[in-house]
Parts: sequence; C-alpha cells; structure tokens
Amino acid sequence: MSIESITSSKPVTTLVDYAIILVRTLYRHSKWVIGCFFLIALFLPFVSGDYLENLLIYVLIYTVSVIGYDFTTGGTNEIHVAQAPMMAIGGYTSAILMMKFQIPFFAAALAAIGLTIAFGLFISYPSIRIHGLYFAIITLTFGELVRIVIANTPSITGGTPGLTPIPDIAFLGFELSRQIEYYYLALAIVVLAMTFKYRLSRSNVGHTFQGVRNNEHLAKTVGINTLKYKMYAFTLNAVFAATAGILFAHYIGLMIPREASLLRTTDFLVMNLIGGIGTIWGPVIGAFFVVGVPEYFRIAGSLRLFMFGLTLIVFILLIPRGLAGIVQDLRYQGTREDDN
Amino acid sequence: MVVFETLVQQLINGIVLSGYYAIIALGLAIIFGTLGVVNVAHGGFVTIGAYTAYLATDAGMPYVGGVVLAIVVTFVFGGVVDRLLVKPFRDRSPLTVMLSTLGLLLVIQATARHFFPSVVAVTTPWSGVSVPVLAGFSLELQRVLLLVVAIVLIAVVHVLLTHTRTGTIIRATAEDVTTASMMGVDADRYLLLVFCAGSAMAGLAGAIIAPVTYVSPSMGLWPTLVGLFTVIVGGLGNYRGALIAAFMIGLLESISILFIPTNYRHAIVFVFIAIVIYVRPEGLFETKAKGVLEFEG
Repeated sequence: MSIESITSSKPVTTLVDYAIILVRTLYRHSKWVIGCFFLIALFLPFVSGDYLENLLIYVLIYTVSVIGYDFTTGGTNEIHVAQAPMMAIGGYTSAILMMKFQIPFFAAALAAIGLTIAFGLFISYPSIRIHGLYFAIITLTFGELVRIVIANTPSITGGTPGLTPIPDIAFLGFELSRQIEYYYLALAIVVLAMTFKYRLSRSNVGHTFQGVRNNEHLAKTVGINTLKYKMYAFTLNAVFAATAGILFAHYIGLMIPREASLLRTTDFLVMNLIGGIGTIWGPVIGAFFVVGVPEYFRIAGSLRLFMFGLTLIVFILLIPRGLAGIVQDLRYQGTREDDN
Repeated sequence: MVVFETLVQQLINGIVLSGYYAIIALGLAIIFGTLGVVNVAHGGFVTIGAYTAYLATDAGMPYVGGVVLAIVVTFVFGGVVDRLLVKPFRDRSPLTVMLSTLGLLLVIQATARHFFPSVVAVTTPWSGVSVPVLAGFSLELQRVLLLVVAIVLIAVVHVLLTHTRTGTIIRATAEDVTTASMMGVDADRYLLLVFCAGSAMAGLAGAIIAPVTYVSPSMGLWPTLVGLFTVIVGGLGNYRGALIAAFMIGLLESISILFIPTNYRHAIVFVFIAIVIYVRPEGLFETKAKGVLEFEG
C-alpha cells in the first residue's frame, strides 16, 4: 500500500489516520521541521526565564547521556545497568583533577573521558560469554562498586556530603560562568551527538549494530566479530556518558555519590524506554519527559518515584517501542509487512 | 581471645542473616526455576510484609496474627502481580519482566515512603528477650525465631516439592511447560500458585525481620539484589544451590566486617558475585533440570 492509497482512496476516518498523515507530512519536510526545532532551541533562552533555562540545561545534559546509553541498548542486545556510575566517573574525574591537581580543564576532561572509556570497556568485556540477565547483574555489581568507593573515600571524592565547589569549564581562553553559556555548550553537544548518531545509523557500522542487536547468533555466523562491535558501542557510550557527566559536574558545581546510584541508572533506562530504543529523537523526548516535565510541575520525592515506576510499567506493557518508536510505526504503517 | 569472641559473635550474626536471606532466596528461586522470570519486585514484597506486620500489631493484633496476615496479603498481591506484570510477558525476553517488576518495586517504595515518611519499629511480646545459645553467647529470641522459621520453611518446601503430587506437577512444569500441559496439567494455574507462594515467602521474610531491624521504605532494595545474586550463584532455578548461596552471602557479609570497614561489606558481596558470574556463569552448583530456563537468560 503506498502513501497515496491511504491518504486519498481510503477515507480518513480515525484519529490514527490523521496521525499518520501528520507524521508523514512532518517526515516529508523533515529538513524544515528540524530547522524549526533548532531555531526554537537557539532562541528559547531569550524568552524563557532563568528557571526554565536551568531545566533545559538539565534536559540537554541528560539527553547526551541517553544518546550514549542508546548505543548500548539499541546497538547491542545487552542491557547494562551502570550508566549513572559511568557519568559519575566522568564528572568526578574531571572535577578532582581540576580541584586537587590544578590540571587545566581540557586535559582533565580528556582524562575523564579516557577513564570512562576504560571502565566501559572493562564492563563490556564479560559480554563475550555472559548475556541478558547475567550481563545486567555483572554491570550492576561494577556500578555499585563505583558508588561505594566514591561514597567511602572522602579524602578524594568528598564522600557522602559531596565534592564542591567544582570550578567552571574553561578552555581556549574562555571561561563559562553564566548559565546561558552552559546552555549553548550543551545544545551544541546535543546537536553534534544527534548528527553523529544519525550519520552512524546510516553507515556500515550502524547497520552492523542493528544486526548484532536483532540476532547476535546470525551476526556471528556471517562473520561479524560481535564482541568488537559491542566494545565499540560501549566506547561510544562511555564518551557520551563522560561528556554528560563533565557538563553536569561543572554546571552544578557539586557531585554527590547518589549521582552514581542504581536509582539514577533507572532514570536513564526509563528515559531510553519512553523515548524509544534505537531512535534518533528518542533520547531528547525521554529526557524531556523524565527530567523536564516532573521538575516543571514540581513533582518530587515519593510522587515522582511513583510516577516513574508506573510509567515504566505502562511503557513496557503498552508502548514497548517508546514514543519515537510510535512515530516511526505510524510513518511506515501499511507500507510494508515487517517493521524492522 | 577478644578476636575469637568477635569472630564467634559475627558467625552467629551471619547465620541469622543467612536465615533471612535464605527465606528470600527460596521464594525467588522457586519463581525463577518454575516461571523462568526474575521478579525484581521480590524485595518489594519483603517491604509489604514488614509494613503489614507493623500495621497489624499497631492495630492491636498479636504479632503472630500480623505474620499470618503478611503472608496472606503478599500471597494475594503476588497473584495480582503475576496476572498483570508477569504473565503478559511470558513469551518475551526475561529482561522485559525484569523491567516491569522494577517499575513495581519503585511504585511500592514510593507508596511506602508516602505513607510512612519515617522508619517504624515492630515490637513483639518477646522483644528484648535473649536466650543463651553457646557458652557466653546469647541471641535475641526473635533472631532465634527467624532461624527456626527459615529452617522449617526450607524443610516444608523441600518435602512439598519432592513428596507430594502438587510438588511433582510443579517440578514437571518447571522442566517443560509444554509437555506438562500435554499431560493434562493446567500449567497456568500452577505457575500462578508458584508465583503466589514465592511472593508469600518474601512477605514472611519481611514480617519476621521487622522486629529485628527497623521497617523503612527502602528496605526492599538490598534483599532484591541478594535474591538475584543467590539465584545466579546457586545456578539456574536450583533452589538448593540458592540456599547455599544465601548462607555464603550472609556469612561473607558478617565475617567481612572483622577485616574491612563496615561501609564496604556490600562491596565484598558485589566483588564475590562479579567473580562468580564471570568465572562460572552457570552457577557454583551444577543443576540437572534445565527446564524452561535458557542459559542466556
């Protein structure tokens, strides 16, 4: 069935039909749509107040991390439960190097990314023989170890009260001190990350990721070194997680061990799931709904946790492909049999 | 001598802690072994059991009544959870159930935190009573009770599984749902029963630990992790292995306090688990019944 057959010959009756038409129109003019989004993002700080801007920075930072997380959930068939610790390693390393060793930001950030990559490779290596639940558990233990070490070495990491004050980001003679500067830096990184992810998903490597995710045994059979690709995915994830962690640490100026907790990791899982695993726009949507919406409506504490759990259940139960996944489904509805 | 005495004391504490872990592990292991799913909300059932016991004793019920109520409540709730969150995903990856029950764990924690912002304590008529166990060492009566309940429960479950018709059917279902169904077994009913019974064990664990420790909304997270670990260390759905693993973890946690800072006692367990998963992902104890469980979990 072609696009015309739905939009012209079949009468438009249901809400779904309208949604399909809307989605396809948006996709047809995707350049304009993305341009509009970009312009809105560019000028938003001028109309939003400080509070909203602060929220948007949070959303952008988390988006970077979820884009990274999506490389592992959408690019391999494993789920790892150590995203928050990875972000914390990035943030803490950069902050500690700057504060205790007076190392310039750029070098500190590079070292932080390097260390996070090392951790990412370390936790991904067991996937050579451990899969599914077992892999999730082994990454969970490594992640919890990171949190315990951070919480119990107060001389280096500041311990439970946290590490503060973390200096501002400064490189190439610039020093970021105002909120709006952090906004544009985070926005630039998100745009870069999304572009990179889009280009990657169209490349050979991206297709291989999909193959490994959909059927690892088949991928192995046709001669793909699946461990290598899993390690690629974890390296990419580490780079993004560390970047997000560094941005977070220097923007907030405070790192606490809770940033590495299991509960924080579930944040990323939920964001990834709400947005849609393996999609380009999923991470933005997920971060927006998980970080932005509850903060804006001042939902906090136990109510936030409650909504969180409920959202997780509802999405797993009813919308396992996530919001961006639904949009994709609508786009291709009725045009082909398989929806891979 | 002092070192020796602390060692013995920690050993006793470790055995009691292991009893608590064993009740939790047993419930999770029979669920995992039969349904092939990991119930991350298992610790949530512990929380529910503890709060039920608290509410019951607070309303004037005797403590034993509270324990029975906790078992009944978690049994019924387990049935609801199985129908809503586990059964729909029976054919999907086990990770799906993990995520849906993780959502449930968060919901339970949030609800508990909403209604009980501060920790509460459950008192029993024998609170504060200690009994001598060994020369020079005494133990709270409630802890002795916990250990007795754990041992009795393990014995009862073992006899039920190996010497009754229901137990045989459950083991058959665990081994192969399809074949069991073809033999005229209403597999679905038995899977539900196992899930309910496993959940009730978690509720029992919560009700029985409540007078020993404080009852707090986040008390369910660590038992969940311990449960997961025992299931993995014990081997696929091997509940005997899970019990041994529970005792290993309990003893490891208590004994390690002698050598390393208290804050790291969970870290020791994590390291142990990571090593076990990496070196022997099939578990420390070989199991014969592979059943519905895929090694790749």
